Amino acid sequence: MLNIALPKGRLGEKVYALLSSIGYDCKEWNPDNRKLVFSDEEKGVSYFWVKPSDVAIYVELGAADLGVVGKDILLEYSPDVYELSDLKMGKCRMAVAAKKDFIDDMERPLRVATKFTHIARGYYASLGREIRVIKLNGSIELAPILGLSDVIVDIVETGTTLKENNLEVKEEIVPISTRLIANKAAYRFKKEGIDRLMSLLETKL
Amino acid sequence: MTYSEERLPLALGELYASYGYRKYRMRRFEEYALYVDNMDFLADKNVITFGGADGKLLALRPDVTLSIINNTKADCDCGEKLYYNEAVFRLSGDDGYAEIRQTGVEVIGKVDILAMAEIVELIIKSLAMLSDSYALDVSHSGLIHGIVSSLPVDSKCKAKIYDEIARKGVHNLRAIVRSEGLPEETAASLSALCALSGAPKDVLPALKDIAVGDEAVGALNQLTRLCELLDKRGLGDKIRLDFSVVNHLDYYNGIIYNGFIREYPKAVIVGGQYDKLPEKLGKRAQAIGFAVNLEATPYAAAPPVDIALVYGEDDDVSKVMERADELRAQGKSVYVGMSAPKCRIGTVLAFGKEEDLC
Repeated sequence: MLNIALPKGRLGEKVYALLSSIGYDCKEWNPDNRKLVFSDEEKGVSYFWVKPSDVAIYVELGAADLGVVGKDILLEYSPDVYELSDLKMGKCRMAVAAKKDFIDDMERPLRVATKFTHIARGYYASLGREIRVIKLNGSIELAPILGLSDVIVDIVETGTTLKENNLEVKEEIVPISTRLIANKAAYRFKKEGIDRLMSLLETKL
Repeated sequence: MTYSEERLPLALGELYASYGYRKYRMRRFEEYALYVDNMDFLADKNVITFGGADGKLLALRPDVTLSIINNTKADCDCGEKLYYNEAVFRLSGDDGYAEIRQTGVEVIGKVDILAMAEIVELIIKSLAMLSDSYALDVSHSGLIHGIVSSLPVDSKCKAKIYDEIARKGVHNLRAIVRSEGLPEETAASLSALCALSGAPKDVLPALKDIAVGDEAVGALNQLTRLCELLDKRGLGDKIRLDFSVVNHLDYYNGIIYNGFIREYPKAVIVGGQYDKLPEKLGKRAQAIGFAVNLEATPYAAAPPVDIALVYGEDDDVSKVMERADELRAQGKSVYVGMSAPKCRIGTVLAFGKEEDLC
């Protein structure tokens, strides 16, 4: 039985559709009810609905053999897992954004508001720029508008939210997409099953 | 056969002692300077420090190997084989401090093919004592380093390539090769190295086309000889070659390995050949070893009670006690009572019926 952690929401449903198209469908599947686990003994697969940011934890600690997670989560938390495939879904980018008229003042540390503190620190360390990180959990765009920060580091999909708040992308840090990850021990003990899924998946990507 | 949490370190110690390894005991603290001078060799750089009576800064031991190599008198002419069963202390993100129990072995002196095979044999036997279902992946740092260091890219890019090999990120490797303008053959070689995982008889032939340069070819030859020797020892089918086992390439310079058991989500045995550390500490010796993470044992260990023998009010208690003695004579731990205790138990037997009530 392959245990797969899916991110709850639209992306998880899209990934299920992809996996079911290669033979990993599940009779019990019904994303509209409140059930969190769907299993199909015959197909040898079990799916869990997990909060997107928790998928990597379930996989790293072996509760799930495989999981579907954004590259942003992998870069931020560096879980000890295998990153087997780029599913090429949920494409977006991690970027630095600021008010349109922002000019970087090199005489003082840059104030950076973000949910992704590890990514932000790593990026500015690679540039040798001193920063002050302000950790926020949501509505990051508000920070430069209210003067809480100079810039933000966040995921940008279409850029509409930025535009509506008079912000714009100043630098792109890294492109982001959805990845298939595997637990390292499960990769040893369920290798045949994982290899089979991977080779079927290759034909669809 | 698996062991209870308490018995396992003793059983592992007996195994290592049967191969002539001496037990090494050490203090729980060292001068902090030892760790500062050798920070590159520490897997975890979060060291717990405190002031000593003479004003010197001391550290709770975050690592055992460093202390052993620092104190060893062994050299290439006269080596020593040691095992330990100690705790290491680290700062942890969760609750501040962590005490991690470890047992392990170190061979210091000349590391030849016999020493490598003996270490692999001990790892396999150790894994079998942890679980009935285990896997041992073997790699060679020289092979990975040889292939990657020959690429015409800067050190930052090489570090990224090592990371992707470790996480089997074939798609990311291809993207790096493309962005660096390297030839398609490089992408194919790196992807193949990354994807290879299997029995030595299947993997070794495939490596011949990938290993280029003196370092990688030398490593492949050594790996081939080791696999041939393990095969002769009847252990060839117990290992798998997998090059995502990168461990800590600045530290290791020869074979490296990760051991897994089904009951634990991460590697429970980690190690390899690490000649750079004795060299840095001014010792004329090579070294190889491994550590068993004993924190994994509660997940894998046999139940603390093998059998709970449950009797009723009408049973003859002397016969119940005799039956318990018989079972104990078979090497089982036996709990006797009118009901089974609330703990993990191997088998619950009803006296007289001897049927498993689980």
